[in-house]
Amino acid sequence: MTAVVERPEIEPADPAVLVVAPRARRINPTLLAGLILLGLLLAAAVFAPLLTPYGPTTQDLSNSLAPLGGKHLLGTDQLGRDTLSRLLYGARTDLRVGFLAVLFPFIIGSVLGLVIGYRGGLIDTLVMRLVDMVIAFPFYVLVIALVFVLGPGTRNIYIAITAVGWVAYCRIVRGEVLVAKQQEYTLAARAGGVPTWRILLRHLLPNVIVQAVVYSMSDIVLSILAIVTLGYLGLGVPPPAPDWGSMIADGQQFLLDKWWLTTIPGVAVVITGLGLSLLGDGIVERVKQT
Amino acid sequence: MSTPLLQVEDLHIDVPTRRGLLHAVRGVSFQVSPGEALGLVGESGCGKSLTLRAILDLLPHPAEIVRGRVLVDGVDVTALPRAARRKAVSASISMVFQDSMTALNPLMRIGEQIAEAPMARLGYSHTAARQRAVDLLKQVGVPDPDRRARAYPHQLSGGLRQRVVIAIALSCEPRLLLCDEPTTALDVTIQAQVLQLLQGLRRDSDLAMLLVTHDLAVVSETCDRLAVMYAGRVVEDGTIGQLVLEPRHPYTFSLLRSVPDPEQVRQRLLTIPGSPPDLVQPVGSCPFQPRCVFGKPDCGQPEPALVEVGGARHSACHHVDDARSWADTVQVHA
Repeated sequence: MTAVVERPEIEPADPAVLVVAPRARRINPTLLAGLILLGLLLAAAVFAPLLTPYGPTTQDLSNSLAPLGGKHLLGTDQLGRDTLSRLLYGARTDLRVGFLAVLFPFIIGSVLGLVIGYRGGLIDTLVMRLVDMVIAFPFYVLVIALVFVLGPGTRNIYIAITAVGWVAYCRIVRGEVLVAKQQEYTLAARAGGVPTWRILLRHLLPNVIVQAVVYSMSDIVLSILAIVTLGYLGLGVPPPAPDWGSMIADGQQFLLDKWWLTTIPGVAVVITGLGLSLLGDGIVERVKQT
Repeated sequence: MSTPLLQVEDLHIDVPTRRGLLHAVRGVSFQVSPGEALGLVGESGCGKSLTLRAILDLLPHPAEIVRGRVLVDGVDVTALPRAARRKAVSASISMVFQDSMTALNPLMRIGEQIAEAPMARLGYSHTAARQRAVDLLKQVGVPDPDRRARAYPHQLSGGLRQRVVIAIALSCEPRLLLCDEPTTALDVTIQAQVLQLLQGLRRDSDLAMLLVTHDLAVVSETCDRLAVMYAGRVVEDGTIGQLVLEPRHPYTFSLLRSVPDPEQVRQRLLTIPGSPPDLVQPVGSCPFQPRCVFGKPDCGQPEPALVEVGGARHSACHHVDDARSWADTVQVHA
């Protein structure tokens, strides 16, 4: 602080409090654990062809229902398909579908919540009544009904989950906007003649989106569960594409003596859920630090 | 005198509540001339902040102006459509907010926050606006402005943040600054610095100021004229000298008496007993009568109007004529 600055007639503020806080912040263990788990999963999905010699749909009928160990590390299913391969390639399918099935409702819900929260009035009332209507139905009932009407397939899963899932984001973001738009910095921007789109994008959005991001982490878990459930019900990703839900469903009939066929993809679902939850909690912790 | 910069005429603001319409502001009138500093004082809930916000069209939902006008340079802005109104008002008036904690966006560098309005309204380019932000920071006495412009609000102290808030208010070269308790959130030494800064700005650029506060010391140090509000109305106005030395309304009198005297350490702090009236109910009589030291039974109907009491000052009391004997009366009581 040696720079001489001209400030006539004004007392300098106390130099002790002027020091700009250091930038670096330590990463918290929860966040780290979540990142590692998800990183491993993503790596497994990306490098699937390198990790297993078998294709996910290659059948080896002479070797069906092989036990753990041996030539097929995690055994094979009733059609002789390698479980490890299906698991790794299934991660590709399920993570991609799970992520995209959250991305669309996240964007649609957040934008809608932002606009109606700021605008208020009739449009706010109308959209919120629609939200109430969607929420009044149990999540799965509505998703399954929609997929049933639209027919199975990845695209229709996106449509169904988006149609139901946007309401949560809309509510979260709208609630945060209602608070943030009364904050003095928003008022100051309005009084200063800053255009509305800029207030929405620069002032409100960054301050309200954190809650929605955190929710989206647990929502990915939900949507992967939904995809698995749909797969289990035969409404999911069409066979023979690898998918954890259909693996669980297919293995069910051999549950008594070939328990791993169901258990291993089940554990994969649990680990994914755990990783995403830890990531969500870690983000919350980190945001609270500031 | 020339046209006043800001005129508020017979302003009425209603707030719908569950219990009925709350008449928060009931006919407030005042004016601010170019270069003048007017203080608006009163206790919490007397309508001073709502009045301020009404000027900028920033009333919190569901409060609304039900009657009255706001004139800027003689133009009735309340009659204009919303967008035109914002434009007309913000061209010459800006606001310094109370709490620098919430008045700054925590996720935006302060330089960008200051540059925002000049870019949006004065058509500054990105670099020009940035330079303007640094200049403004320098003007409000922020040391090392180049580096500070890149800082986030949480990296600055309370006093510096309040200076940034003032810089934002100055960014479009206003002629009138509305200050909503600009020093309440600060400790006393920083408060003095910020007041000094505001004083300096007024001197240098002939800035008019409307200062809303409940701190009489701040007002008497900063302002030329004073308007005292009670229960949604102005009950007395005049110059600082007039009001402080010889108040003509019992409320002003009691307010001044409740300022602690640093000379007499052992003195008991004087307060005004009771609380302001419920403004959901119609006010038929003098709203201060139940709390007034000089209240008489005949103080009742009707509610006293604000009338001139000599020397360009006004008071709303039925017994203004007794004002000279108030000080003595209280002495006897004590």
